[in-house]
Amino acid sequence: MSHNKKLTAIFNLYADQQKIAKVLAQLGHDQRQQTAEHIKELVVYSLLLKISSLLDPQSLDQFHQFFTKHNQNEKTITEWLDKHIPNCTLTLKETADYTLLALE
Amino acid sequence: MPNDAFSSSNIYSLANQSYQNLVSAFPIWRDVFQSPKLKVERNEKQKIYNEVTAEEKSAIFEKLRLLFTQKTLLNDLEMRLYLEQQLSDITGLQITSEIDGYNLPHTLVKMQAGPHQLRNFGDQVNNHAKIKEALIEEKRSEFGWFGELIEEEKFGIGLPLFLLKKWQTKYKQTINWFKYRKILVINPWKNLMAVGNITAISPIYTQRFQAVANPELSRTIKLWFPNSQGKACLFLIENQKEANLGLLNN
Repeated sequence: MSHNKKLTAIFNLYADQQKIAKVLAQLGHDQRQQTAEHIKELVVYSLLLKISSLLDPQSLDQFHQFFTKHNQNEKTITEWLDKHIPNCTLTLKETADYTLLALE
Repeated sequence: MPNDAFSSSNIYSLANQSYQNLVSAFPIWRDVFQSPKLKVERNEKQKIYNEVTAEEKSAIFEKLRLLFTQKTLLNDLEMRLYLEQQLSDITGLQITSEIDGYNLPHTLVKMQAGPHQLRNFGDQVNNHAKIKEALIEEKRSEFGWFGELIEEEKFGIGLPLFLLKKWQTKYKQTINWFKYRKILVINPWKNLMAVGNITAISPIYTQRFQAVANPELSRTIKLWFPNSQGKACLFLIENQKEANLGLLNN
């Protein structure tokens, strides 16, 4: 699985898709694709910053290796995060929401 | 509701900022993700590539076809530099004939349509998704098992690296330098180009064929269509990280 697909998996899990779809719907088709890509990057890098800051250096190293390893899928990534970060889903959804506020 | 702040360029700056925040706090991610800025630059290069007109592209392919009948043209440095420059423009990659003193054994080749290569111990042709009729190699590649490097296997190329001068004096460095090195493969008869990578040291006898292409690569650039007869041009790519294996859109 490529890094990009893993990023998309994290993005789809934690970012409010309805909110993003609503905003993108206001744009022209040619602008939409590029902007959607930038929104994804914006949210995902913020999520990775949050994840990295919640992990101790050793766990971060583990996560980095885990993420870059080819044979991990999106399910095992979320399971890993759930195991290592308390209230992971809630925390990361909040982070994504907060990041998306900048677009409103 | 979106307002003026919500524009593609604003989101781009925010994404860029977000990336910078991440990699400055945790440089470990720098190796994994490219900054949005780099990606935009690459897209810009792609745009320039798309702007090269169809006539210009067909003129370049015509010159490449001509090389097969007038091989001495390749000895002309100016001609070589011209081709490298033109190919760089149309592919958006840095195309060259020599890097770090290394060059390819041949630029103009007749490529053998080879079988699939063994990815792991006990690999069988059924494990390869397509082109099962190409069968599978009997022995492991000189570069080792592919493991999960599936794309590398699909777009693999065998080259007779033992013909290089450095093979005799710097065997290990030569092997390491060429292992999975991405190269540009052009079929000028079909105006098709792809990025392949060196995955084997073959063929042993080079009178008839001077390179071997794995089945997916052969099929992608239609190497064995009438007129082509396996003839292809090979060039080195300087910016390895920016070259993605597979067909180049042209």
